Amino acid sequence: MSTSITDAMFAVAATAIVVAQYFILRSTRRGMAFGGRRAAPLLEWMYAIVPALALVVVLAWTWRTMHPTGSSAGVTSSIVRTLS
Amino acid sequence: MNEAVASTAASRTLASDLLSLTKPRIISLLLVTTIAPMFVAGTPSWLAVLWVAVGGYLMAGGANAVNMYLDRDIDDVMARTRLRPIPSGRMTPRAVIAFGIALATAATYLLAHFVNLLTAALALGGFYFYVFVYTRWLKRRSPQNIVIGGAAGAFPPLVGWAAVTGRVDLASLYLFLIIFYWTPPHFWALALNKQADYGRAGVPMAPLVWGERETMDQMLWYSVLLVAITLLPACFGVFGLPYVVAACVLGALLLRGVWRVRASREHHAWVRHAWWVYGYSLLYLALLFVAMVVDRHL
Repeated sequence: MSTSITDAMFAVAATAIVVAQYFILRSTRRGMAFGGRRAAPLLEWMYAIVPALALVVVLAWTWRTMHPTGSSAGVTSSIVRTLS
Repeated sequence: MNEAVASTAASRTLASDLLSLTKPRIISLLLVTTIAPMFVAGTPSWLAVLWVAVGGYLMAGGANAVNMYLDRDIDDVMARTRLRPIPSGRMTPRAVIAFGIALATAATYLLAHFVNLLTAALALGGFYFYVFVYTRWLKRRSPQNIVIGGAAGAFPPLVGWAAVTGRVDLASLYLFLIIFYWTPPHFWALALNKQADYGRAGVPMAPLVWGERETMDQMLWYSVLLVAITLLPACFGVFGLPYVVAACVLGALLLRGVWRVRASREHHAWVRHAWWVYGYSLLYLALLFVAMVVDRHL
């Protein structure tokens, strides 16, 4: 597949991930308010946030793999450009 | 004559119980997600596939047996687990844990000796994660038990990949993530329909703690995440257009099913849709991994 198609696919997938992750965190906060007397709030946040942070790292790694010549700063700006 | 017949029947029961401790139906999907990545990673020899399949079965079977030992108190109060060998009194807890550890030990040896050390280490890592992180730590403490615990079921693709390439890389990490993010919608679909069982056993599954609607919301967003993640390996050339088409079609059907659960207001309607999502998600994962293999060998 051409670079423009894979870049567009990456942008669509990354946007969907960011939106879904936002709603997951929001839902986790609401769920914690409903109950869960056994649940420790800090740990519950950790269970939701750690996978989200790991995904950010994987997305950045993916972009670097797609554009191997770019520097770190270039990668970040390219992601921002693609998402905007 | 009668003694011989009784002895044969007892042996058959024991063999059947030992087999049931390994949860063969669940392992069949784990084997698909172990073997398929081997054919995505390269062209493995049939002997390598055989050793990974045997080692993978023994390791997962051992983890399942140890899980049944650790959960023997709650298995007795849940309808769907009451007939397992320990709660029904057909096997002693000590025999079950010994069997589980023996299987895991044999698997570690086979994978390390006939495949490679990394493969054995990853399979053993999955065993420990399932037993200690999921069963011992999370299962009875957090409604997000299967979110983090889902990582245990995500080890098989890493095992298969490492068996062929001898390493873990970005592509294999995506296979791990696909199963990690597939797990919440799959198990919450089951939990929605088995709330009474989990409630009796005191397992804080999401529908019991957060409520049904909040769980359905999370199922939807985890499914969106999952479908998005399935597309990303194609962005850096691991898969081509045939896989992308398959991932989109399979993902669209999953999203439609989860949306129906969330959109249903009547109890009987969302129960039916949740069962559909539970069944379809099994097929979804198997077909997605088959699509990966087909795409790589077209």
